[in-house]
Amino acid sequence: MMPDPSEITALMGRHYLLMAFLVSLGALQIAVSTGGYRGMWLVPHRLAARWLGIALIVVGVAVFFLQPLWVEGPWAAGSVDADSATREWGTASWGELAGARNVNDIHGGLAGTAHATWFALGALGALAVSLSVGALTVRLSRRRSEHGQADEADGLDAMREHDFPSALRTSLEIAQKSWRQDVAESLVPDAYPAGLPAIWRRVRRR
Amino acid sequence: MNPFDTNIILWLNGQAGKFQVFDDLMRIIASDYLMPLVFSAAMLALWFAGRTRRERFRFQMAMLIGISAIGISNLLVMLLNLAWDRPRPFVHLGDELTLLFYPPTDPSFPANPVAIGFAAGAAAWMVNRKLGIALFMAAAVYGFSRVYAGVFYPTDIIGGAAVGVAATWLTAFLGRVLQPIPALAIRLARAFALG
Repeated sequence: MMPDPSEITALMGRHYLLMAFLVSLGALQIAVSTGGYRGMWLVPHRLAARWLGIALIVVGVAVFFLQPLWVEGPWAAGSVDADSATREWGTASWGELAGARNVNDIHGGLAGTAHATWFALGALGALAVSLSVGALTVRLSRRRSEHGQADEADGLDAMREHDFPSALRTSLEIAQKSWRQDVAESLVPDAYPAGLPAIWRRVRRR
Repeated sequence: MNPFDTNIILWLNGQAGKFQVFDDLMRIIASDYLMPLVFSAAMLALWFAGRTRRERFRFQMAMLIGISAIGISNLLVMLLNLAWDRPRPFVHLGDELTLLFYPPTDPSFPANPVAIGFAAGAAAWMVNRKLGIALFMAAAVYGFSRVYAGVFYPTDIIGGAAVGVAATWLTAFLGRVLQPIPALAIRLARAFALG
């Protein structure tokens, strides 16, 4: 039976979301281990976090491309038949898996907007997992300096030694105190010689 | 159709079917899913990869430029498609090609997937040469796989690369002019411990 292309789109969306989540989580781990932000590490060692990141990327890609497709769909699009409209629908064999997901969006493949949406969701999920597990890792780790708030550092700098909740508290407090000054400083024309305030000053002088 | 394009695509695509493993690898690389995800994940990683506040700011600006450039390159490709509806190679060459990919219905020039890859690569290149080169190479391999699969001409790939780099250059210029808006956005992220 030929399935509805929307069912294929839903299946592809689920599989792509999983890959986007795992690859994003892996990329995040490599980045935060490079930056040294312990509050986001899934494991309490820099090198282990980096290797875990690489492993997550490999697993994410493998899960997507090697996952059996035993449901009927326009799989094996890499056939020599150039006219996708006449391609027969069916299940994909192991040998066809490499090209099975090359499906045009009119036949159930993901369109560009769907790609962007699923990637954004996957990346947000990866960030949430990284922050939550990172908080646990910092709390359980001996490297944790204290239970309370982070020091004077704000933003990601606060997560070098502290978990997300305490870094967030400190960052918000610092921002509350300094936002007026920050905004005022950034609007000074000399802060960005090519920026809007500098352009506006030149226009007014003329 | 110029002989440069025809000769190269016929020779490259002529290798299809000879090495099954290489064909499968090209099918995976040519897919709509792998390489765009690589470019997006690289942009995500760029946000968090800076070691110092100064370096992080530069990386985060590059990330904002990169994702904006990807959007602008899509727009430029769409405009160029309106100006020139170049048919895909399999339309011209028909049975002479072994198609390893589904037959896309949009115009061939310029290659949109390659434009996106080069836009991301150029943004990364501005702040980190190694990552920039890696992304340029990934985008080039992506383009190669699409020519091998028979869905793009070589000049489509060259055009896509030029559009991607131009989009990043344009976005970087706009980014400088629109300061302090992106800088304030990064400051806002820092207030939530994410910048």
